[in-house]
Amino acid sequence: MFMSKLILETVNLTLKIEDKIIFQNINLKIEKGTIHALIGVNGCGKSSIASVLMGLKKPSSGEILLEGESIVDLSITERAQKGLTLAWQEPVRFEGLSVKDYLSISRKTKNEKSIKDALESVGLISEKYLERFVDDTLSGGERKRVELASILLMKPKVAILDEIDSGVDFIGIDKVLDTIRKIAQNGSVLLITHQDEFLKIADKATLICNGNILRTGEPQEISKFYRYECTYCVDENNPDLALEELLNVNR
Amino acid sequence: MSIDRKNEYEALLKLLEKGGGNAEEIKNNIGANMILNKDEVISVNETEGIKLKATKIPDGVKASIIIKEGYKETKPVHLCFGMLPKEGKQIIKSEIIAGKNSKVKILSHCIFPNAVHIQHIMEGKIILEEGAELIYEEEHYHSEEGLIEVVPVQEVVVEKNAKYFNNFKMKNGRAGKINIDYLVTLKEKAIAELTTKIGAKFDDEIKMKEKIILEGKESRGLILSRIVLRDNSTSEFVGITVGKGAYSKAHVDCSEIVMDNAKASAIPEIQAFDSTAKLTHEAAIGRIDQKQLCTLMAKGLSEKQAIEYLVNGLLN
Ligand SMILES: Nc1ncnc2c1ncn2[C@@H]1O[C@H](COP(=O)(O)OP(=O)(O)OP(=O)(O)O)[C@@H](O)[C@H]1O
Ligand SMILES: [Mg+2]
Repeated sequence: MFMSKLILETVNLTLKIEDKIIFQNINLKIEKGTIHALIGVNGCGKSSIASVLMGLKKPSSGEILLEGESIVDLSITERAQKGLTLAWQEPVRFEGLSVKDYLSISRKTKNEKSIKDALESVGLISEKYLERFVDDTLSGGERKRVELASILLMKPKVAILDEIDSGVDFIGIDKVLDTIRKIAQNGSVLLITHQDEFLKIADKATLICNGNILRTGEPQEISKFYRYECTYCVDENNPDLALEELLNVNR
Repeated sequence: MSIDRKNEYEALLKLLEKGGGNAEEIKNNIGANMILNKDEVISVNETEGIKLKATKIPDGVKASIIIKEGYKETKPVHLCFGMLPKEGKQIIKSEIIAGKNSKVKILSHCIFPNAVHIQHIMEGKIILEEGAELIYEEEHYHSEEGLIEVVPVQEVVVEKNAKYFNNFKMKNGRAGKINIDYLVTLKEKAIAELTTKIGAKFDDEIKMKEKIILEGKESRGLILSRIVLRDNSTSEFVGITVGKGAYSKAHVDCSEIVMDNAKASAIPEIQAFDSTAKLTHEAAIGRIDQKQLCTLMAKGLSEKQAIEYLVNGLLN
């Protein structure tokens, strides 16, 4: 039997909100066991793609395939149970829910120690954090790391991490990078990021430009193109024509 | 203790234990305790620093709790107000005096396991003398379906530098009709925090009126309420803070989650009589936060399970 290398694939995925195109014709191909970066300027549509993949928003058209099966009509819960999960760009806070209880939700094994290990993995001392609450008493960086620990415990097939790096300090960053690699050992990661540090651990990168995929390829190359060559990304006040041209060139 | 009393005593403690309460401390008489069933005093255990007195009144008991000056105790005083029958009325008139610089926690367990139609009226007069610290926790264990009418009324005076913490919590069962009426007066540098957490269902009716008068300068007050309403339940919340003392400060934080056909209203009222007083309030009534729900669902929980987690977090 033919075994596809792809774990997650989108086909002409498009989202319009009240006639406004948020993104269109997105054809993403994420391979098993890889870290796939999604980059692009603020507002280009990265988080919107993540939301549609997870099922928070319905796409206007297009397909989402997880291991070759359509998941477009599945609920968030069903998608998660099939192994897809998402860490939001701005994780929410939960009054009265302890870090320990929060992490127990995503823990796959009965093993209590796995929770401690997950916290240590993201660089949080478990004794200090287990009894804390996942509410607004956690700092931004702490909250992000707790979220990443939760994703690690889920052992997902595909983890979408939306700027999991933002707000994490320079010491924590290495822990976060290591943890992302760990997640990729058992699954794949769609990594939305603005940081070069993070592109270094990616196997592939896709550049989103005004809701379109402009290029997919080797991360450093895509990053260089994004920063220096894409006239649309470099100067967003450029007319739409530039984007059209770029899209044609890259087709 | 007569055989009846002994049976009642054991029944109440068993129920308390089943509901997650600490019955061991009562059984072993660790700390002071008082146990009532309806209008009968079942047992009283005093300690060196805590004087307890209970006398029968029509339909209830008059209880007095006096904490000696300077007495500090880490083990809580257990008050067990039970009502084993299905129907009836129980009136508890209590008087609590926390002596100067004393520090005590009172755990009041209200147990109505068989209630079909019960009225439970608690009228408390509480005085915290200078520098005293009192934590008063009221935990309710109700039957799953019965209609219980609970009327907790408290008049509290918190003298200079004293601290009063009141927690009202529905541990299990159906809330029924709850009509809370608290009036707390704070003297110079006194502190009061009133926390109420209630989950309501069926056609439960929750009414709360909590008022803090900040009389003394630099006194501080907090009214915090968390209410989760399902089915056809209703709630009316009124939180009043009155700032009279210079640099007094108070905050009202009321958050209610409304599901099904439930209805809620919240009225925070603020009255400042001193230009340096700072009174703030926030009230939020709404359905469950969608982003919170989605976050938990993205971890594989069903919507129902996710709601349970959110509600438990809010109420515990
Ligand atoms: N509900 C909405 N209605 C209208 N426009 C929306 C809506 N949601 C998002 N947008 C717009 O869609 C675009 C893409 O937003 P998105 O959050 O996906 O960007 P992003 O690439 O994640 O940006 P950032 O790097 O800042 O996180 C933005 O221009 C945003 O303003
Ligand atoms: Mg974004």
